[in-house]
Amino acid sequence: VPARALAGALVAAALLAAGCGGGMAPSDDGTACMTGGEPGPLLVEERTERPQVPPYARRVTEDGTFWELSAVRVTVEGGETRFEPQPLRWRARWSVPPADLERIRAEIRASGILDAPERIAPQGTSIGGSDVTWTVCLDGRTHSVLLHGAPDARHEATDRLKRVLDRALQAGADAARPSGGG
Amino acid sequence: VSRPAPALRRRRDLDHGVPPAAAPAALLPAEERAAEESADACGPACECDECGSRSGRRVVARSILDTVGQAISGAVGAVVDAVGDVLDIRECEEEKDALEDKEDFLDGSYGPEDLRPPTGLGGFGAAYDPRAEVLTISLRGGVTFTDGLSIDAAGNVTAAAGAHPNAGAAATQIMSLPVEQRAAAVAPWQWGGDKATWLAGFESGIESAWGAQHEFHCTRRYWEDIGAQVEVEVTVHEGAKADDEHMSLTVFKVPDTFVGGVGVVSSGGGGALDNRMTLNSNDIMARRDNLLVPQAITFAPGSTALGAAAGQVSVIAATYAAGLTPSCSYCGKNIEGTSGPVLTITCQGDGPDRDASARARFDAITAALTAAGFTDTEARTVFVADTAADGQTCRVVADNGAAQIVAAHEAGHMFGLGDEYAVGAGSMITGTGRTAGQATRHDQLVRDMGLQGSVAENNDNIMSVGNVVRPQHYATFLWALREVTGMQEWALGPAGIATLPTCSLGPGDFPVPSPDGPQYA
Repeated sequence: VPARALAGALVAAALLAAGCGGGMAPSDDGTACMTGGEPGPLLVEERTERPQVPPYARRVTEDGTFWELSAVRVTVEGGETRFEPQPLRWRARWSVPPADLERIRAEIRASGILDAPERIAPQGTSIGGSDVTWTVCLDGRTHSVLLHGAPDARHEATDRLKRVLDRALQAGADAARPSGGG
Repeated sequence: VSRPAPALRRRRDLDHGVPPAAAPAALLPAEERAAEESADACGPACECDECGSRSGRRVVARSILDTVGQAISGAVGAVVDAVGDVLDIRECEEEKDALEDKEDFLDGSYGPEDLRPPTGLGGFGAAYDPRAEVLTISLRGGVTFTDGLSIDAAGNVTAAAGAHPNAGAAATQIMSLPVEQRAAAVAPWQWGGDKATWLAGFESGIESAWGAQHEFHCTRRYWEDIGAQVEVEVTVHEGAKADDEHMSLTVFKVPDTFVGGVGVVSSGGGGALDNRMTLNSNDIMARRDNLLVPQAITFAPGSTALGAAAGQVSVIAATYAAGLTPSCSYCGKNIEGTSGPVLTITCQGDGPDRDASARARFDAITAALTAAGFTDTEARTVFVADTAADGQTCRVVADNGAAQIVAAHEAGHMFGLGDEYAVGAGSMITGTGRTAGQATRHDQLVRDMGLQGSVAENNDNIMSVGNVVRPQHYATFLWALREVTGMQEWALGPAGIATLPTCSLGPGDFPVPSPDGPQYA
């Protein structure tokens, strides 16, 4: 038992060190929005997976925290963008302002994503495309939409949600700047 | 009389749905036919001694057959010959028919025809000029230039829908910049006056990668001197795809330093002219995340023990696992270059004996590779010492180590080929590919070439993670050649010398060319 407890403590410490401390509390609706040791409870996530490369994901949790899962560290210096490998793990970036968080919730309800097909794929054969999975969790409902073979696979609801998410993340980045919006 | 329906399908016949007839080889005695078929299965990839045995029988050059043809059609026997031809009563009827059919074939033109191979993927044009002995493969399309990142008047930054995930990561980073710096950061992601340069680079890159890598020859008896060099012509323009073009291409502008190819080919239900390709602007250059060069393995100073680096070696073993080993269907010999990627391991050494230290580190890596399931380790690893100065690093390079040009790989999909890269547990390459050893989408077409097949494997093949166009990658070109000519009797390899007629047209009835003559070139 002591060994098991020690192992559990080590795992918990590792998760915390990896930035996965959030989301361990249960959500109001039970476990629907839990994400198994990853940042949560989840509100919206856009996860992109491509052949040959690690996944990339953007996630906003219920509390408005913006998390990024990436194996590439991007830096911009003097207008030049550099890409360097980094360990694949979730990293908290900044928080989405409450008003924008509410816009995301409203768009989840209005866009129709909660009722969109679970899998959308272009007709014919596609090789090398991305699998983009949108997952939303709101009002006790969880729903995922897989766009298999993006960019050819698209859906109006996810396009709408992407626009609102982009705006919300930009607003969060602006708010996080010391000057409050750059 | 020419043999009925000699399986030739001229351009004028293409729309009539004439079914191909039995190949003339079927008229040969069984053992001779078997020998022909076995020899046909041997391309240069086989490197079988036996494959060359047939060449000794090819002692008559085209110039001789031209002479024979002239003799056949000469004034002396013109009328008699015509009557005899109709009645099939001429002396040496079979050989004469073969030569007459050959002349008819050489006078024909075949294609251009837009084709989608049986793999159900891609589309391209194919035309064969028998006099020039050139198979022209064409790829045409319209290009939509799309900015990878955009910025609006308020400074909001967004990644284009469908852009590579790393573009999303870049957008996130640029979002966090002061607003006055964002436009400059986004500029490398936006098209300017560089579109024409890109179009030219796309065309030339694919043409040079795919053209003239291998060639074909006819295997019909007496026709073996007919060859097919392969030329690839790519023509793309800015704007929407025209109805007679094969693909609509979307190109996301990214900085040249961008890491991550985005290549996609999607083929709709409309056949050869219904395809979409997606690329990043720097996909016409070598990709920066070279999948043939895994991370270096670093040892502790003075140590030859792997320690924590053992995990890296396991990843390398899983990534470069060998697929099946194709072999020549004739002699069973393994086909060079397809029996698993070779790892060149360049090790530094330190301490009083750097060479011994470097060698011991190499040995530690190869032992760990074997323990992790890497096969044929001794044959598939090469040791290189880097002992000019003390060091603790071993660099691993798979096969030729050249980073892939994604656009050339995607062109392979337009030519109907599937992916050959492999994914698997513990591998550094993830995705929706197949595990090492599984047959690829074009496996059957490769078998139809006489090669043993095509399997998933991470190596320097162009349809895997490298740039090398191997014989198997011409499988759809060979299929296209057979389609446009309506003749199945084509095989991999350069044209030889036509089989000697053995009837009254045999040696002695005409001048024998000098072995040094151009006909032997």
